[in-house]
Amino acid sequence: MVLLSLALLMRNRGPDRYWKHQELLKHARHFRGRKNRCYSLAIRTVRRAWRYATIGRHLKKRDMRQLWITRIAAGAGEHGLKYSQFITSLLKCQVDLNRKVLADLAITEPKTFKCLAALAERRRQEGFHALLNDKEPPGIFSRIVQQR
Amino acid sequence: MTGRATASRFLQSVLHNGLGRYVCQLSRITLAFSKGSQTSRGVRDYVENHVVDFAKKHQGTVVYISPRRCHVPKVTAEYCTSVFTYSHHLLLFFQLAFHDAPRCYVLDQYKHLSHCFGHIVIQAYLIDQLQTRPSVNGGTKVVALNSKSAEEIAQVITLMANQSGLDVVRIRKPFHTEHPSIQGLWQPFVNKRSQLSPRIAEWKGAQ
Repeated sequence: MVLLSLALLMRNRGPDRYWKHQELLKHARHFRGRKNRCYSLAIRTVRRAWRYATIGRHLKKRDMRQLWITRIAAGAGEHGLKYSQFITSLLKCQVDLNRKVLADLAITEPKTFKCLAALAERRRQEGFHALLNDKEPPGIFSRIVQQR
Repeated sequence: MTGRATASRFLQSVLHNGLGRYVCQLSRITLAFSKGSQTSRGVRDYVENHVVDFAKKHQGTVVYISPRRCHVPKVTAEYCTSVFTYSHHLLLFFQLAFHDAPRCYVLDQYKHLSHCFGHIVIQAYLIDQLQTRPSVNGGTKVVALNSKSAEEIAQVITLMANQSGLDVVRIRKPFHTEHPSIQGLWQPFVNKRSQLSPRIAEWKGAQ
């Protein structure tokens, strides 16, 4: 009679556990504490990090747009306009600059931004005149849109 | 795969390469292959038929051909990349073409290639014994060429010749500028009236 149980209990668990762990730990090296060294702690934190990274990709787009809007609002406010008035007037002048570019202009090119604000203000005034006074000639900047 | 865990870099060119003349960044390319094994068949085909054209086309690159006993034929590309920022008055510094290019260091078996470079030394050397080599202070790339055809090898080598040697990692922004502002960066006092301006208007009016 052959006793097999002891032999069956010995299993070869696999040769490359170290390398598989290292592959995961390389994503945890910039963490604080033992979770940058110990596999069981790291695996949980790394999965969390990847989940946050996936979610964060969608959030980043929202956050960046919000940041741009804040900056444009601040810049337009310096020139006496509200963000909504600024954006709608620029749209009506067919100035199709997006919020990213407008925010960058507000920071690095303040004179250009001032001109854009002036343009928006002028178009706004022409809009008011067109509504209130029918007999006045149409404004210069509102004329562009009508000829489309 | 987070952004902080993976390597990344900013968009850059080596010493503003395209601004003046374009200089090929590949400085040395080494083809290691076996003379008899099946996996090196494509490389042998490439070496016999195409490598001379490559060397002629890329005059600033030194091509080494190293037949040796190996299972996996490889191409090793070394670049003259030195990445550090230069101020503008140093922009005129350009990379010199290498003093011993173009040359093919080959074994006797491939001596039939020597008539293509009549005035250039062809000797039987083992790569490790070479004394003078072109200067390289940048990155190295190794690509395995086992069981590739000569056309595929040509594609791989052309790709390496067109690369700059900078790491192929995530580029943080698809743009880069040394001078982001022309009109001057915004400051809190840029759009505010100065206390002096009424007096300046007065003075100009008086004039």
